[in-house]
Amino acid sequence: MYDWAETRVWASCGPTSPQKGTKDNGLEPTSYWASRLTRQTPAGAAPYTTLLRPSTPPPPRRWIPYHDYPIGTFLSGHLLSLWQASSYYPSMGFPDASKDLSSEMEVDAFRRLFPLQYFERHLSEAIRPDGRPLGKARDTTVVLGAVASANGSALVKIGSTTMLSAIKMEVMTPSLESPDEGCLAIDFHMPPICSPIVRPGRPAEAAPVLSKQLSDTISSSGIIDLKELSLVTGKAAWMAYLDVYCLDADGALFDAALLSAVAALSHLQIPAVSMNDDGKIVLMSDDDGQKQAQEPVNNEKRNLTLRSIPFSLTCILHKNYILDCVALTRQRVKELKGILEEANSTMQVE
Amino acid sequence: MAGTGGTAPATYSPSPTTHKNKTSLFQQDWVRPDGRGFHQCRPAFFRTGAVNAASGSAYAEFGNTKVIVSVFGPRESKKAMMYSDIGRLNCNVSYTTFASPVRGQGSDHKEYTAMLHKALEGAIILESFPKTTVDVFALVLESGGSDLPVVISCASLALADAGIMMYDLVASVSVSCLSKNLVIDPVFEEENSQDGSLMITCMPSRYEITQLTVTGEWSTPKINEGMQLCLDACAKLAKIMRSCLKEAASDSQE
Repeated sequence: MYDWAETRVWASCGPTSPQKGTKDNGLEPTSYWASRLTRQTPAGAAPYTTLLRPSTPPPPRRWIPYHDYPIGTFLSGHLLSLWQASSYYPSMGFPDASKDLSSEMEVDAFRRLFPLQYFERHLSEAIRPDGRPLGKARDTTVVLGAVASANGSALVKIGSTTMLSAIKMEVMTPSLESPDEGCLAIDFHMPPICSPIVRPGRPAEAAPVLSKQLSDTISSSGIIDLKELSLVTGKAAWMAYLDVYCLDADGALFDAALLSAVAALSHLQIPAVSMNDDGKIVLMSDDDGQKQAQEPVNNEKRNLTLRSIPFSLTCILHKNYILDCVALTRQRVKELKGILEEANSTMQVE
Repeated sequence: MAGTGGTAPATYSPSPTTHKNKTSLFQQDWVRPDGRGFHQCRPAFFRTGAVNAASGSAYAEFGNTKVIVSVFGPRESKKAMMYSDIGRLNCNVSYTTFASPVRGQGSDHKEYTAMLHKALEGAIILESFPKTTVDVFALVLESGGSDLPVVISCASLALADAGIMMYDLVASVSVSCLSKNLVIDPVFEEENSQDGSLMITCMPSRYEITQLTVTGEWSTPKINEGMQLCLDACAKLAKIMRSCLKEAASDSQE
């Protein structure tokens, strides 16, 4: 039987150098050559196929500096770091040391190299990569009043897709065709923080499309009556600027954006205003005693009455996996209505 | 949208406008709107991992100032045409339309972008990612005063979350001069009526300053006092940032 010390010296000169993080209890051969040279495999030595893989996964790192590994030649170090780099693709969880690591790494590489087949393998089991059944939506949360300085605001999360919407009210002169109606301007923004595809100079393609879709949906659904936004017929009316910002883009953008717009509208409180001597509308405040003589245009803060509330659900059709979209949408509408009402009632309690 | 016609109508906000003249009378005995002492900073709240789509991200909240910063990279950039053996840093600071009390345009803030770049480039080890670019994007959700220091501190946390190698965490604090008084971590009102401002960005453990910005009227003893205040505050802020990172790391281990 070879002397263990000698074997280890040979191991470090071989084409594959010892890897950091291998179980080194002094008895186990740590390289291909070492396992070949020792005729007797000592008790507890791992079989050949798993020898080349570290038994405890090193911590995930995006960049592997070459100087970090104790290597003999540059070339072997280069091969080593390339090989290990392929197993370092960002993965959320660490595979167990006891599991077969070869299949874990292949899954991750498989997901990146052949995404279509990866998803189809999941669909054939009627499940999604994150473990959801086909007809189930991600966890949805609605928080009202996220932006204190706005008249109405909401933060919506569907899974990790996050949307923040806020409504600011300004005064305008209504148009001649509709002197007793206010206006609602909806804008959807995708700032560069939300996704790696958005750059500061190059806005995302989805942003103006979603913006138009949102404003069409909200105006055609009739959720609010624009006559409620009027102040003085023919002279002053409210212009409500509804801005929806995508803070994290992870699919289902339109669903989240619509839900946050609707939630912000449900939270909107129109402030109390009065008209001053110049004919301008100003906020009613308790400090200005002399202004109490003016006629209050809007007595107290009030909420908008929402008529029919639109909700949306995005479904994807893929080859022969057809979902019953209408039934799913009905179910989802009930869920979302419940979530929105709950958020509203918690706001009122406070 | 009914009632707009071809062009957007001109609108005005009904809220009362701020009167700068009124406040200057009271600066001798200025009482801070949130009841802090002159040398007291706002409570800081940090959280990393706010945005899933980014390599690293952080959310910071100092009183009414709320900022999200995302870091992407190191990645390839179309802008960098030439080979370079050190990495590039690309920054962008933008505001939401509802960030300021009166609705604004919400566009990029070019000046703050350049200042953020200057503050961070001294602290990042650019040699560790040659030929690639690291993008740091900041979005100010609500601007309650002292925006740029909060953006810088949040950006360094986001860089740490993304695993970009740095010499040290970068902390930033600003001080405002209101006639005779030095006020640290000013609020929006105080910034509007200030006589001068001093902003320091430093790496506390190394006791090195990456950026120093002075505007307005300052005498030498005042500058010394202001700098000392800022450096002490930066050291304390860095401790808070470190504990936030440690919490995040221990949470992910569980």
